[in-house]
Amino acid sequence: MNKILIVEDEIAISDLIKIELEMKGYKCETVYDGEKAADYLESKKYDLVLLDIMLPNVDGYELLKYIKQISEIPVIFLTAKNQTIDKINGLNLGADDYVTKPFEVRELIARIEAVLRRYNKVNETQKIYNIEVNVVARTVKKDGKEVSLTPKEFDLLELLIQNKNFALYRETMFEKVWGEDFEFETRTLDLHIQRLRKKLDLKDKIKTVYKIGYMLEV
Amino acid sequence: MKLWKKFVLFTITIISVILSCSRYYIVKKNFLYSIENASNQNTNQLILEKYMIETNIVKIIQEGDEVTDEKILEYLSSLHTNFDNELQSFAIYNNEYDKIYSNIDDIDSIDIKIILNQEKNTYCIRKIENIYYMLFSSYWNINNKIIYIVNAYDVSAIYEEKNRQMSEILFTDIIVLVLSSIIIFIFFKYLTKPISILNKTSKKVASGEFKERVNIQSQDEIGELAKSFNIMAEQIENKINELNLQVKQKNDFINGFTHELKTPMTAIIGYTDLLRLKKCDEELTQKAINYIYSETKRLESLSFKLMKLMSLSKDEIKMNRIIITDLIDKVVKVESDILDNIKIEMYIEEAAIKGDIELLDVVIRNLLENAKKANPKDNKVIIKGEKLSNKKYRISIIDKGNGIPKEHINRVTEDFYMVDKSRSNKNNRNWYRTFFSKKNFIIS
Repeated sequence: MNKILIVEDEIAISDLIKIELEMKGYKCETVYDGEKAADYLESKKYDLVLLDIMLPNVDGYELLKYIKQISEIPVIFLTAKNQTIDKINGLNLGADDYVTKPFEVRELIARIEAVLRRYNKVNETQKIYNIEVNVVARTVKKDGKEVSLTPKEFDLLELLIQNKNFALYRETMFEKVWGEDFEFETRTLDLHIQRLRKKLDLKDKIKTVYKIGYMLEV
Repeated sequence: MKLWKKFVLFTITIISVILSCSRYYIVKKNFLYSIENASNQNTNQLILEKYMIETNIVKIIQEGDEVTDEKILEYLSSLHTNFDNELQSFAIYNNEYDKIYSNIDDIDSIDIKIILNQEKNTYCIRKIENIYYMLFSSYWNINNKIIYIVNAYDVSAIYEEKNRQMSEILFTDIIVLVLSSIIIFIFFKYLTKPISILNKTSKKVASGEFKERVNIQSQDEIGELAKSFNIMAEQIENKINELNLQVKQKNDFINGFTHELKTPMTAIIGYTDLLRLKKCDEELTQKAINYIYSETKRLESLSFKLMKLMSLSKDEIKMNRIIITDLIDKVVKVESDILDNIKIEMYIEEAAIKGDIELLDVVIRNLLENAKKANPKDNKVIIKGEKLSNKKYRISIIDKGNGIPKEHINRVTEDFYMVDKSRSNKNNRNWYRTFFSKKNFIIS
């Protein structure tokens, strides 16, 4: 599995990213200042670095220059500085992406995966049982045969896969797939779950969790 | 119409009116004088001639003889032979105003009665066949018969002279006007050159080049205007710079403040989103909730700071008498918990000062907390109070910590000013805002 170094001095945020990434199956290490980060990067091998700009001792820009000298490791900037000039500076120095605070962790993870794909460190397709999901082309194959899903069905499947083995709350599931503008309709969600189960033959795997919602068991 | 056009037109009009009036007056005067001269001369001659004619005519027409036109003609023919060319132009009429003789061509074209009836020693001027004649009339009573004689003197030369003068005047006037137009134009251009410079510069300033100044050294009104303009431009430049600085400070404040807001917000949103999507185990839930709590607390203290700042900037400063040791003791008592392992050393000179106790309290506490965050090597902060000359009192908060970077020193009094933590130690990150203006430091 991919190993990610989180360089962020706000412990709350650092922890949050770590929790979320570990749930996804990434290995994470956290470091709270620039100097130590340089030491870690020298001694260990990582697949990606999340880098805050405003760091104690050595700032993110300096660290990025240093990282780019010693390795080809992808770097995503993580910062509250959201002025265009800061973004341009970061990207010019060779950062692969730039995420500004406040961010949603989902977005951060999507960006991490996009960067990793670019470096061929992650496959475009994910396999669960006999189902292959291509998140870039948004296609699903079951036993090598393509299954056609509606966009919402695909989003729902993606959400379940991203949070596999966790029971997900119905309301939040609905909101993440349909957006915050729609009023929660349990029947819509239930219907889509049923369609997924039927189309992909996941009747036993997408479980109904009492009083909570659904869970994809892997 | 451009100013120079107006000016040139106006002056030229004035000059030409005055010039032509005066010239006309002089010519007229000259002309009248010449006429007067001529008339005097002619009157004298007239007397001579009259006398001559009289004496001659008597030779022919004896007393008692009937005077007929034929006799007069006879006389005149003799006269013609006698005087020949010396005789001036003249004409003779009988009492019925019939012409007896005339050596003036076309004399019939004028109304002769007026001339014959005019008073003695007066004259009329008539133009006959392009010649101006000065006409005198007189009469004799010869044997009870009235004979009129009209003497005519050619005064065309005077008229010619007048006309010649007039045309000369016209010619010189045109030259004078053309020359003066050119001179006035050049002079006016020279005069208004600074105005066009001012105009250009004004346009530049208006388009945002506030550094632009005019360089006009003259001592006249325009020079003064230029000076005033420069003063105005200077003022505008200063004001603009001031405004720009204010905008920058405001931006920096907003940036600093939103940065402080964003970090806890990211954490709060992240953890709540985690909790409301997934059913997490007890341990993770607890952890997330704790983070949410602490980050919310951070937001709360931030909002308190902001509110304090806003209320401080609104209120008037209340000046009261303060005993310095009371103030410091109170502050230190409150702060000793927060300052933790930092020791406070005090060297306070006793004094009573005038100032706003609340503001001073905030300032000293703020400085103490900053001192702590500066991570002093000897874990010590010194509070020093000393009387200065000219009735001032100085309170110093001294620490041997990281210090504020030089380039930030003069901005620490701005609201919520924050030294970028990546440029220095993390512990230095703090609100350097001291919540009040510098003037409060100097309180008598």
